[in-house]
Amino acid sequence: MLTLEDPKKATASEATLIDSLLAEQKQLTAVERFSQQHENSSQILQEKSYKDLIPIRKPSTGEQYSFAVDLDKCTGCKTCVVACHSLNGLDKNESWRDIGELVSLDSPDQQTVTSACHHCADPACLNGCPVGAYEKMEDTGVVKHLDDQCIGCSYCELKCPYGVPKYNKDLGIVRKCDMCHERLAEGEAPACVQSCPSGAISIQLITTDEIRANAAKQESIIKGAFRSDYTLPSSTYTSSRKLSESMVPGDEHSIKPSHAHTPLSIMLTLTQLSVGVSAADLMTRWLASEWSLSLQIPLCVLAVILGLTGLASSILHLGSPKGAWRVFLGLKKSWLSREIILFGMWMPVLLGHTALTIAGQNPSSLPDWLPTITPEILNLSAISTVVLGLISVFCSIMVYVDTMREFWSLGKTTSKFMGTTALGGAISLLALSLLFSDSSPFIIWFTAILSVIGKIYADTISLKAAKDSEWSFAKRSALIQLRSLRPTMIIRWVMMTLTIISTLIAVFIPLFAIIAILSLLAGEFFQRQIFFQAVVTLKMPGHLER
Amino acid sequence: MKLKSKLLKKIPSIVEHSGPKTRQLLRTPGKFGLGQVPRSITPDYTTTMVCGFCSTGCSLNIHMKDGQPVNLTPDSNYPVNLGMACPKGWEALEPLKAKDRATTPLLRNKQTGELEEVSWQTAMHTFTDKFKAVQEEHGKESVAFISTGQIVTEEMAFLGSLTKFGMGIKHGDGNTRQCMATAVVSYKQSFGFDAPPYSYQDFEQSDVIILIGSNLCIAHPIMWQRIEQNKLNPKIIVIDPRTTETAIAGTQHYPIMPKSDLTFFYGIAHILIKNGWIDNDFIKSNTNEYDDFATHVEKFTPELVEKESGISIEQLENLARTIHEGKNVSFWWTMGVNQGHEAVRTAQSIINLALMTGNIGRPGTGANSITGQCNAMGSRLFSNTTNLLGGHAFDDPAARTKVANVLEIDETCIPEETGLAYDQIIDGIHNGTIKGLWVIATNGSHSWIHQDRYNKAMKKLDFLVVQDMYSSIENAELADLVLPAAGWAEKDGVFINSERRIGLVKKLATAPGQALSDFNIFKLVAQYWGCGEMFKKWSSPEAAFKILSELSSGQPCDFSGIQDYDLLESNRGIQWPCTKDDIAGLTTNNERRLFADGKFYHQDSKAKFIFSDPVPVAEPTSNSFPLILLTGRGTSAQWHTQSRTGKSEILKKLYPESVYIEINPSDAAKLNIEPNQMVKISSSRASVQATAYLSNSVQEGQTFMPMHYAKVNRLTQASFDPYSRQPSYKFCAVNISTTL
Repeated sequence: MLTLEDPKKATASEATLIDSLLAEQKQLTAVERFSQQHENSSQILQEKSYKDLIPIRKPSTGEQYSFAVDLDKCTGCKTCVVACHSLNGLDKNESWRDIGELVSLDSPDQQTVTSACHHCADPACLNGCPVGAYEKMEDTGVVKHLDDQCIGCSYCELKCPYGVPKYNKDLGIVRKCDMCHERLAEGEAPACVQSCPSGAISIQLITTDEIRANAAKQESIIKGAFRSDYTLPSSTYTSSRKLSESMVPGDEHSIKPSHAHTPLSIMLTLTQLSVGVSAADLMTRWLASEWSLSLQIPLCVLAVILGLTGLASSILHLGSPKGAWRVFLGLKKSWLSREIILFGMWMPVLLGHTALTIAGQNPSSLPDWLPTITPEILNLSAISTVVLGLISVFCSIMVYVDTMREFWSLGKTTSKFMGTTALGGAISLLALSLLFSDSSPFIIWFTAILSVIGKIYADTISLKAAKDSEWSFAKRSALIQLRSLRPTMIIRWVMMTLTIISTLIAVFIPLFAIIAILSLLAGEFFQRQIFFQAVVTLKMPGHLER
Repeated sequence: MKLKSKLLKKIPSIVEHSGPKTRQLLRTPGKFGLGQVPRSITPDYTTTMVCGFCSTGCSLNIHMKDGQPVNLTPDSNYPVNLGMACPKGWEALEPLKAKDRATTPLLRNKQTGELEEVSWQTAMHTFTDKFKAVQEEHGKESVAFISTGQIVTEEMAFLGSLTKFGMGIKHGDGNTRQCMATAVVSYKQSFGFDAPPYSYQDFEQSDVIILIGSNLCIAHPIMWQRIEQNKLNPKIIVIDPRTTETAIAGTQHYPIMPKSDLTFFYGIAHILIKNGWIDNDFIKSNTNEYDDFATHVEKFTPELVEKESGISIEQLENLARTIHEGKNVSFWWTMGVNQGHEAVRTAQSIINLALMTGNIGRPGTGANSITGQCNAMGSRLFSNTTNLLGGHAFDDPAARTKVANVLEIDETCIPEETGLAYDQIIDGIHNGTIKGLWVIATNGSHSWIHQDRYNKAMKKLDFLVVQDMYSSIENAELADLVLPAAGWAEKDGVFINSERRIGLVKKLATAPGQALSDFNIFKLVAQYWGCGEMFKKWSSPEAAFKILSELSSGQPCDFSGIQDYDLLESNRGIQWPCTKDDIAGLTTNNERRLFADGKFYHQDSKAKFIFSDPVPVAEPTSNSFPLILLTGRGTSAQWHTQSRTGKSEILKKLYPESVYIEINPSDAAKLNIEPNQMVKISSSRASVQATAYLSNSVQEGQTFMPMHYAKVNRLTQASFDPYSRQPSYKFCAVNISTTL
């Protein structure tokens, strides 16, 4: 036995014991020792627990697979979420199944709600995808995401009213549930089905007609879910007890801001401002062609700078921009596809118009063989720029309107986006006229003041709902702005004020016009951040968060 | 041609059905009886072992690739879990890979106050020097240890023997005090031995299942699965102040007032007796003290019980009738009972119901305590804290001789009495009698009741050693020395589950850095302390298992028939008792219950009715603190202090990130609390902030906070059951305000 009188003096045998224990710790002997009983088994041992939970035959024409959840059996263990993650080899925090709950403030009733993709008959993700990265499989009805086709624009995240597709930052694409269709093809159950200790999730065959009938019969597949007639979800939720009417999702009172989508905020702000500047250019050409002469080039150049920066920023939004050339694939249904294509057409026209304007004002620098640039040509190019620009902004509006979110309704989005265009045009014109011209006609002042008032109105009207007694999407959006986004709101209003003040000062000190334009940019940018963050994300019932 | 095909390859197709990102998610047949698995982690081989979280004791099939575990699926053929696992089980491998694993011993630098890496040699020298110095100055009893229900049985026994027989330590206890102590004392007093009588099959064979203070759906989802397997369309009765997931899933719910349980069960006994709904034959031949018990419950009239519990007379009678009409009634209880100020008597009032109605020993019956931690049962038998190794008593000379003989040690090394309980050790630190503490695989700085007082005690110590998988746990932050321990799946040994099943844990993952299994750390300590010779028989976990098997011989928990791990492996776990004679029968029946013959473990083979008058809670509500705070499990994805489950990103998605409090909407309305608002909760000990979650799952006047968030135990009030010394986490008085 050791005697350890002097702790500093390590003896050989001490070291030996520690070393041998450390070495022993590295030896993994279990597997050599305990042989596997099922090494060569071709039979799947788990089969017995799920064979009644999947159909015995494949879907026939007009039929598809669907998830059916027996709410009576689901007791909230949440295993399905983790098993999906493990059995599908997903990333650390990735699962294609989500869990939430319905709770009531009037009774002790509660219900856990498990959900994955509803493999809709009319999938919004598929309809919205600009590059055709979704397919509705003919034989199974599974809505399949093509990972290598995806450009990571995340639009499907906004389009799906159930919050199913999720962006994977590391991969730069979205991924989603494929109902383990390869397992089903081999007679195996999907991960969630085979892991549920209560057998609450099963796969059923359902016809498209039944899906339609269900959507017509009941507003949504379960309380708290979006109305079914939008995408025709195939999942069914059944319960022997009637879920109480007062039930709300566990995250109903969440006022957590949604994703800010900064590159998109920049893109939207700048393209809308740019179109506004072009519109100002056109207006002055029409209404005061003499006076406008000194402003035409500055306006065009400003529009180009804003527009190009905006479009460049939109590329930063994409997780996998390499495949973005495929954006024409979605033209038939996707507003995003249309928006990208149209902005893509608008920019060359704007550049051409700018070139013509510059050339038109410097005819001597042009080679002789070029035809003369007549005012008619310039008017035509100015009109084309503005018309294309406005259609593009309209597409931008529709991109959001088409996501069915209350905060992004046609009226609200149009007032915000077109408001930016109007304000951008008016303020830029005013600022540039103070910088480059001798006079600023009253009409410009009038337009500028009008658009400022319009903007203030559009912004504040959305806050009114905060005082509603009824809990609603509008109230949530208002509370998100007033509470969670308070700093952004303050900056937005400071910038707005700064724009007004510096425009006024610019009457005396023209250089302040630059501050006016910069603060206008910033103010509208933060407004657009609020646009993205204050929206209530449509999703399946979730749980308390904060 | 070649050029053309090359060019074609370069041109991307309009639709990409495959590519590197698609390939990431391909699945492939897993072999080994598995279905399809992710192709990137297709196993080379698989092996099964018992899960290391709760006491259900599920078996997990570990997928091995290149010598390391890469994935797991629940074991399809284990009699416990039948191919299922809860979220924690599915994620059991994830905590092993955490970045904050303790990888070297850490010693606190007195100057900087920081923990610094040291060699094992320095760590062991410091350990022995410091503790020996404390013992020399303040007496041997001034060093104590606090152990766990989370390490394997062999390690528990080694720790208990090393400390008590080798190091002269008298006081040691486990965190099992927080979960199982009540069941232990109740069974011991009622049955004569700490013996949960059931097998999980009883869930399937019962026509009336009574769950008391047990949120089975969340706390033990795989046991709930067994209820789902029940083909008898059973009545599922849930007795719980909260409308839990289980209460919703059950068929009858009795939301009794918090801690009115003892009165409630006496009231049920009263009605059963009044109606003659009792099993006189069973009572007469198999029990003692029934008459006194019947007299005792006379005063618990339905009127009184209605007033105390809030359950109407009609409902009380309905419950009694349901018990009477059930053919096989099983009673199951968990922490709602065990963690009470009069928990032992409450547990016994449940046992009494089973005894008086003859619902014990038959399939689908029993007074059944569902255990908490994976190895709480191992701890109950072999931690050498309350009991002498193998469920023996320290004050029994014959037992001491037996243990000394098996261990081949000098009998005089064995203390003749039990040491202090957990709460008494903390008291001992406060009053200066305990100066050194060794904490193993538990995190009292988070979990112990009245947390601020616990942490104050930690700071008072002359020397605190924390031995754990993680150097980041709250308790380690206060330690003078941190010893890095290997975790579950990084070492061999056995766990004993709730139904007494001994299951294997295997060493199949490499522990990080210089982390050692607790077993090997004890070996080192023994050597450095100078008592290595005494434990030379404990050469390996399996050698230790043989010692334990020998120690169990002749006891009710006799598993002397099991001599090695292979038998456990081939039989898919074995319940105790299991003598040599029982082995043959295992192939036909591996799910066994106790007391089929009506014989209990008291000298006269009879069970005993035990009862006493209810007493008020230690901290009733008051004007300053008008609300009751209940604590308990939040979700099935969280385990205790979250030192492990908090490491899994996927589990984190399944519960709120920060602490919340469930408040009844009508209380919230009175206090002007809006949903999701941040509120301040105060008890007479501390104030903490939490998000208000308005929910009718708590009754008016009551609130609930999940125990997994460290702040919660700053509020709880340290009162204890007088017999089991188990802390009462299920009642304290708080106030809520919107002024933060």
